[in-house]
Amino acid sequence: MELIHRFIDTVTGEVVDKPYTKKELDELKINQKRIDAELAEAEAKAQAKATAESKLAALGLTTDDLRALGL
Amino acid sequence: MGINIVPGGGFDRELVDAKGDIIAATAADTVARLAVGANGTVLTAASGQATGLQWAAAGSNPSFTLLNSPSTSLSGSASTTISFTAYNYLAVFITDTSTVNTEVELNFRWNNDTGSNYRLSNVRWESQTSGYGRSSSGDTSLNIFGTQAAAADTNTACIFLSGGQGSGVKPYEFQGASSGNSPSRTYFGRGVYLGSSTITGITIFTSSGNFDAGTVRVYGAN
Repeated sequence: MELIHRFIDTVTGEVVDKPYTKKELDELKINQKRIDAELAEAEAKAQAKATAESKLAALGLTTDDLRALGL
Repeated sequence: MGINIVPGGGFDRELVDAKGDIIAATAADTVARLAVGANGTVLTAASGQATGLQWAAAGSNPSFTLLNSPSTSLSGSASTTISFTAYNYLAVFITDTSTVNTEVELNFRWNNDTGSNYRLSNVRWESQTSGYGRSSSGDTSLNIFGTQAAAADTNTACIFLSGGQGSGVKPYEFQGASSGNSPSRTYFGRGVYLGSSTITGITIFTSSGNFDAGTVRVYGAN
């Protein structure tokens, strides 16, 4: 899909659609890499939390028990 | 204009002449009449006046003008730049934007400036139990990250900027939320735009794909 940059001049009423420039496309790729990295990091944290909570449950403990111990 | 204290401690009623007149002190133990002001004026302290008071024009609140009447549709573009004449105060409302993709960010730029001129701190809340803050400096856009989790979700946001006609730094605030997704996401933050030019445009763009919905309204006031 071709990405469009629309320019709207509220003073003259002119509307111009231009395809994304190489610079804009490159920026998009860089941003997407960062977003993918952030999502992977969030997923890893959520997975680690779930794993830790299952280990606690196996011991008959909850996160509230840990808080009660000041941990 | 004398002191008209009558026996018993009251004022002589002849001191006032018209509806709205008030009595004010001109010195210790001395009073005088201050005639009512014109309609709409307000009483203000004025040490140079005999009574220390004067009627003055009421201050007016800035009146916002819709610059892109009735609104601008974002549909069919990945990026939209709306240009306008400079105003000191700007309020931008972005409503129900979406794309066909997931995990889509909303981004903004003033004057379509791609320089490292956007300093901000923001907080994102994802679900009711987790949230985290993020701050950065010198970003190349005002980045509202990870707002549209699913393709069916929509984003709504607003941004307020002051100092748009000046050459100094321009503070802004923003907030918004996505709808329809699970977990829910909201975000808010503040920042400063470091560009020295007056603000004559805003660019709204996605991180992925063209918008398939969404409208923008830009208001300006001085």
